[in-house]
Amino acid sequence: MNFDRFKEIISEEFNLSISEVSGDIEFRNMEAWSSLHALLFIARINEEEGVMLSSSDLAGCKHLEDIYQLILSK
Amino acid sequence: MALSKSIGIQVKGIINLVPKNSEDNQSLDLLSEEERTSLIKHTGIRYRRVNPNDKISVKDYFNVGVEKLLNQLKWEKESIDILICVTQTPKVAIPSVACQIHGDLDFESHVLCYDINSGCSGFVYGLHTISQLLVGIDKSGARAILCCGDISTSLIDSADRSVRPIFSDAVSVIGIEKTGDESISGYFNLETMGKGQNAIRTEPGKNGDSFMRLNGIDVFNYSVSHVPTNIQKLVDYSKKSIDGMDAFVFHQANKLINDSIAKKAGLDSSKLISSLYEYGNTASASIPLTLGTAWNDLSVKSKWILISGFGVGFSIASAMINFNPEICEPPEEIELN
Repeated sequence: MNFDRFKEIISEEFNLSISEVSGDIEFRNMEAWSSLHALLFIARINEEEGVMLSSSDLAGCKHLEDIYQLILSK
Repeated sequence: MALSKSIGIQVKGIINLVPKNSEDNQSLDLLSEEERTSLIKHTGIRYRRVNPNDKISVKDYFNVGVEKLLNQLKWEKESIDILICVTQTPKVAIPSVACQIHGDLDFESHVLCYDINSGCSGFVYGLHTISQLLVGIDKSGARAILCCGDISTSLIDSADRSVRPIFSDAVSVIGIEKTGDESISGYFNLETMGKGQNAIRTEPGKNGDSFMRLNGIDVFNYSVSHVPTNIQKLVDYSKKSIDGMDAFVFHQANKLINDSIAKKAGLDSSKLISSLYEYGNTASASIPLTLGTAWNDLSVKSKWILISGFGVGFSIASAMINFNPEICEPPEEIELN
């Protein structure tokens, strides 16, 4: 997955325009971030990339870039 | 104990009961209009049943269900050998719910009674336990009653946006009989991933209450990572064709999880039965209740079904069972006072 694809998924799951998505966003501050949207995002990443992110994985992340790097590392 | 068989055991009847009182997620004031729509779309849950009277316990629903089951199957109370309750919401810790039902309904003393503390996987665990016990009873036609279900709303923090829209109250009462024939009647694969114990748990509230907490991401992870594998091991063990199953019935966790499991397990989604929209997540009653909503309308060919319960524990239990009950009714709404 390249970063552009990651941004597309973020924009679709969290109702943002692509231009609003950047790696330095603190994802917990996103207006649409909720337990349901987080779950849908996790499910989407699992379906498209075969990567499973856990709640403890996310707990160690602060910015969108951290999540992207985590996906690449798995 | 992971993989095992049952011999000559049949589910003869299923009675499902729900409180008449219901709540609609489309009207849930905890969520915005957009959140409600998204929640219903992705969890598949519109309505939930809520026991309106906290003086009424899960045992009271079981008592009604047991009497209905005995009447409809025309089973004499004296013919029952085993009574097991699967619940996580007993009104009191001591004595067991099974012993209370035994006393309330005046069963005879030869009945084996105990409770199993289990939730989402509880029906399959209960069925497995009873199947093994019945085989060991030296009596042709030995009979058991399995009571499954919870008043889950008694554990819900009304302000919890993750838990409240999901869980629903219901019980199922199942009659099971030792048929006496020597054919294989079920294959079971029971597993535990205790590292996932905190994915669904209770924690103390402020006033001595206990509230259920749910980590949705971890429940999804455990379910989607491990349930398809559990099912595949079961299918391999049984040497039966998955395509030969009449229906697939999962614990009713939520639509996102259940659809993801079915896809990963390569199951024909047209055979996947759901009761989520009308009844939500009904804990250990969810599999028999879902069967009740659909069984009488299904085109049944092989009389074999695949069932899988997964959740609290983290516990996973799947089975392929020969299923040809005399009674398998849709949930009946009741009001208890």
